[in-house]
Amino acid sequence: MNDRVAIGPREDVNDANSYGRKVLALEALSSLADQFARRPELQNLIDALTLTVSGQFGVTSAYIITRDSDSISQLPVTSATGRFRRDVSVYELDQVALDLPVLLADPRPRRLDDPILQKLDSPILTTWQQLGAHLVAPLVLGEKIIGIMLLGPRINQAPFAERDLELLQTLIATITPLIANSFLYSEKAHLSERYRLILDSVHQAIFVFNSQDFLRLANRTAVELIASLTDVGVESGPVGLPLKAVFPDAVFPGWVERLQSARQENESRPLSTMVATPSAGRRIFSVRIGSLAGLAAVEDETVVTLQDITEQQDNERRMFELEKFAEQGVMASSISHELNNHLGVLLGGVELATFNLSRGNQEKVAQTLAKLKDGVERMGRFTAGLTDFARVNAATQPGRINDVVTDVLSFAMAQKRFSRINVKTMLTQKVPAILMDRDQIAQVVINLLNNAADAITETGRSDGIIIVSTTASGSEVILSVSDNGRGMTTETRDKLFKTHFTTKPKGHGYGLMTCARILEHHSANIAINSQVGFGTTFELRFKTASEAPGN
Amino acid sequence: MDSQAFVPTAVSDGTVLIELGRSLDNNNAEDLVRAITGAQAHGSKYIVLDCQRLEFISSAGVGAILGTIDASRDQGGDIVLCQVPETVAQVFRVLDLWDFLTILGARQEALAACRTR
Repeated sequence: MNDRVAIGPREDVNDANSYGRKVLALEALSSLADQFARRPELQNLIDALTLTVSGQFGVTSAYIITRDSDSISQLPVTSATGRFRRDVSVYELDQVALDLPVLLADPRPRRLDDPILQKLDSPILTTWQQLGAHLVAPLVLGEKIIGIMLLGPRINQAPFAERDLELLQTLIATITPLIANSFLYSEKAHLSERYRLILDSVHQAIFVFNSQDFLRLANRTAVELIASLTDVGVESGPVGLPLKAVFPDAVFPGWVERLQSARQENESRPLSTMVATPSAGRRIFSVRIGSLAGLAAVEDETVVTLQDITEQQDNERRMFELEKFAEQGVMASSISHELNNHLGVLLGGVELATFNLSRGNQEKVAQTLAKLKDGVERMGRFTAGLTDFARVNAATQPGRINDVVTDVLSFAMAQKRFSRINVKTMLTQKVPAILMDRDQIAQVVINLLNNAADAITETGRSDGIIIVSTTASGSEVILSVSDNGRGMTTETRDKLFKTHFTTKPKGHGYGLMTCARILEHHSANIAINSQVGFGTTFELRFKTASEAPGN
Repeated sequence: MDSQAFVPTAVSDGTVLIELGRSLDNNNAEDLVRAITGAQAHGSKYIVLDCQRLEFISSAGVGAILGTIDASRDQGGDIVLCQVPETVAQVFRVLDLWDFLTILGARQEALAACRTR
C-alpha cells in the first residue's frame, strides 16, 4: 500500500525504543494494577492482560486460560483476542503441568519451537500450534500452574527476541499474584451468588438489618412480600430503607417496637405470630428474630424471618371446626346408642310385665312396673346429665358394684338378645365399696353384657354363656364379664376403644368408646383376654372407695 | 470515556468511522474491541479510527487494535488510523508497529483511501 505511512517514522530507534518499551511495560503494569484495584473480577483482569500483552508485544492474537478459583468449581476462564477464540479450552492446566513439566520447573515464556518443548512431544503442543500460537507463557504461583498464556505471531512477523521474552516474564511475574488474588474475589462472588440463590429459593422472607436499623439485605420472597403489602416496589426494593419504612405501622402495627424490643433482649426465638393489616386483607406471620453479632467481620446485624401463615391458620381453624362438628356427630350417635340400650332394657321390662299380666300375676307386674319406673328415671338422669356426660364429669359416690350388676341383670335379661344365653353371676359378697356414678357404671355393664351376647349370637351356638363375676383383690374391686362368643384377634382388641371401630354389621363403634371414657373418669383399668373361637373376658379394676383418687 | 463514545458511523459501503476520545486504555479498550468486532460482524471491511482527540494510548489500547486487525485484513479490509497525534505515534514507533499499521493523515484522506481500495 503506497499511501500507508502518512506520518513518517522519526529517526530515534533502537536504544530509545528499548527505553520506550520499558516505560510502556511499566505503564502496562501500573495500569493492570490499577485495573485490579478498581475491577478485581478475574475476567476483567485477564481481558485487560491479553490486550495489554497483545499491544506490548505487537501480536494480533493472544489467549489466556486460567480457572475461576483455586478451590471451588475450577471452571476454565479464558480471554482471547485476534484469531484465538475465547470458547476454546486448551487442556486442563493440571494436564499441562504433567505433559510439559518444564513449564512448571522453569516457568518462563518459551517459543513453541523451543527444542526443550519439542523434545517432550506432547499432543498439547500440537494443539497449540494448530491454534496458531507461537509462544507459551505459564502463569505459575508456588508449585502450581494457575494459568497459561499463548501468543500468536507478531504483526511485524519478527520472531520473539530474548529481550521480549524477559520483558514478558517480568510482566507475567507481576501479574500472576494479581490473578491469584482475583481468585479470592471470584470465590467471594461465587459464594455470594450461591448464598443469594439459596436465600432466594427460601419461602420465608428474610431481612437483615444493620445496627442503625437500615435494611441491608432482603431475599426475593422478602422483596415481593414488602412490594405486595406496601408502596415499596419490587424494582426499587426495600433494601436501604429504615426498619419503620420496611414495616410501616399502618400495615404492620406495632412491629417496629416489638422487633426492636426483641433485639434488645437478644432473643433468638419465634415471636409467636404477628399480624399485618394491609388494605388487601389481614395477614398472619410467624416471625423469628436472630442476631449475627459475634460473627467475624460482621457488624451487629439482625436477621428477621417472616413466614406467612395466614392460610395455614385458616386451614387449622377450618380443621378445628370440622373436628368439633365431627365430635358433635360422634356424641349424638353415642347418646343415641346409650338411649337404645336403655330402651332395650325398658322394652324387656314391658314384655315381662305383659307376660305376667297375661298370667294374672299382679304382684310381679307391680314389681316390673316399679323397675320400669326406675329405668325411666335412669334414662331421665342420663338425658339430664348429658352435658356432664359429654365432659365425662359426673359426680361419684361410694357404692357397691354388686348392686349395680344385680340391678342391670334383672332388667337386661328380659331383652331378646339374652333369651338363648345362659347368664351366670359369681358375685363375691362383701366386696368393698367403690366411688362411682351408678348410672354410668350401669351403662358400662349393659354395654359389656350386650357385646358379650352379640359375640355369642354371631357364632350361632346354642350353649352361649356369660359369666359376670366380682372379686376383691387388695385395694381393688374386679368386675369380669366373660363370654364364650367368637373372640377377637389381637388386632381387633387393639382397636377396640377407638372411635368408630366396630366389628358388628350394624354397630356404631361408640359403645366401648363410651365405656372407656367412663372408666377413665373412674380411674378404672380395663383388661381384655380374648381368643378367637373361645371367647372374651373384660376385666375392670376399680380402686376401692378408700383408695380411690380424690377421696 | 465510556463505551457509548465508540459509536461506529457508516460513512460509505463497507466503511465505518469510529472517533476515539482522549484516552484509549484498560478502561475502554474492551469497549473498542466490541465496537470494532460488532462493525466487522455487520460486514464493514474498513474501520477508520479517528485519533484526532486521542492524547494517550496504553498497551491495552494498542492491543484492542491489534486484536481486531486480523479479522479486517482477512476480509480484504483493514483498520485505518487517521489524525494520529505525535505522542500516540511515538507509542506505535516504540512498539515497532508503525510500518505495519495503516496510519493516514486527515480523516477525508483515510476515508478516500478506503473507498479507492
